[in-house]
Amino acid sequence: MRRRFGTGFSFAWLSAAALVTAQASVVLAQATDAAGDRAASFQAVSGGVQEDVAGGPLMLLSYAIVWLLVFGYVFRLSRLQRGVEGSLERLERTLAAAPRAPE
Amino acid sequence: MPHQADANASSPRPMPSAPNAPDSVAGEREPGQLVQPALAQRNERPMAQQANAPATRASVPFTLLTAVSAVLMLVELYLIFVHAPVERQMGIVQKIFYFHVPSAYMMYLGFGLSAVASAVYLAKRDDRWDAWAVAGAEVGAVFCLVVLLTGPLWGRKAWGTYWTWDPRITTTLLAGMVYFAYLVLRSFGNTGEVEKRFAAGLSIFGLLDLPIIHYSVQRWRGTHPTVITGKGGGLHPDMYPALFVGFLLFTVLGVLLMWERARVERLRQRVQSIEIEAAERGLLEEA
Repeated sequence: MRRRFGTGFSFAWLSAAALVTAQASVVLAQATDAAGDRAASFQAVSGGVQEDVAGGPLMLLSYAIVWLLVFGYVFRLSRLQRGVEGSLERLERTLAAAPRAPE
Repeated sequence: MPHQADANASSPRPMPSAPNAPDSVAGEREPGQLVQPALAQRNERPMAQQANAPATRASVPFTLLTAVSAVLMLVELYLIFVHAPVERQMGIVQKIFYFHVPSAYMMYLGFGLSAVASAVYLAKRDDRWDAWAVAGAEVGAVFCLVVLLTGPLWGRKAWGTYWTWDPRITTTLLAGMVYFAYLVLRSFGNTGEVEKRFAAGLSIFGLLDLPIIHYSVQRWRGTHPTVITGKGGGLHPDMYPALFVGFLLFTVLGVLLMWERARVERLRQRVQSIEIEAAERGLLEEA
């Protein structure tokens, strides 16, 4: 019983050691070539990426966009209104300058 | 923005046409003699004077609503930044929500108004409804832009990416594209009857997308949050006041913008009709 346990344990240990060694050699090879590969190609990352994104600037930018769009539209409306009023004044002058038909 | 209520804008009167006017015998008068006498016989002031009429009662609710929106804006900012707590997982960027969601609601309202007014315009051929259709589409497009620009900023923090082809986001983009196409079509100078009708059809087509936007999250299991819908987890109780005041604020703001835009569009329609009338009689060529 003890012998069979020892054999199994040794086999498991050797397997784990082989796996770790193989993985280490792959990582080592990747690390060696990383600088060269980075200049030559972009590769997709596997697994999740941890990034610390600051929310403050995003929120400020978002509120700036809201105000910019709303007030920009109000400004556009006021320009449109001025344009229409300008056209009306021009037409008014034209009509006033035109000779009247006899009654 | 100066506001002049146009009492006559709601009851359009067609310009007297040359063949029907009593004094419009072709070839007997100078070109400039036709427009004013025709107006005088109808006992009307010149159109330009009508449009520049002093403010009437219509400007009172407009001014009142403007004041209300200003007060609501201050209250909303207080509720967002002082009263509402910071969200546990997303942090301060969650406060985009209080403008993002009411903007989406106003987008629905603007596009919906445009489509309904377009349908009525097609049925009645009344330019007043066309003016409301333009106003709804334009204001809806502004709020659609707000939604499509603020959403990705929230997504950058919450999802780790600015954009994803989520069903709700994609269908919102589609609705925006339909109504931007409508506005591009309407921006080609003096729009004729055919262009107006085609644009009205486009606006009604865009309406089909609105319920798809709303139900896409439930039907297609997108990643877009559903915190305030029936299946959502809800909000912290202290977050609700900011959201409700946000809805109220954007409703008032949107109504004000659509009201003003429709009024300006009515004035523009009247100027256009006078210009066409004057140009047909050779009056504008002399100016």
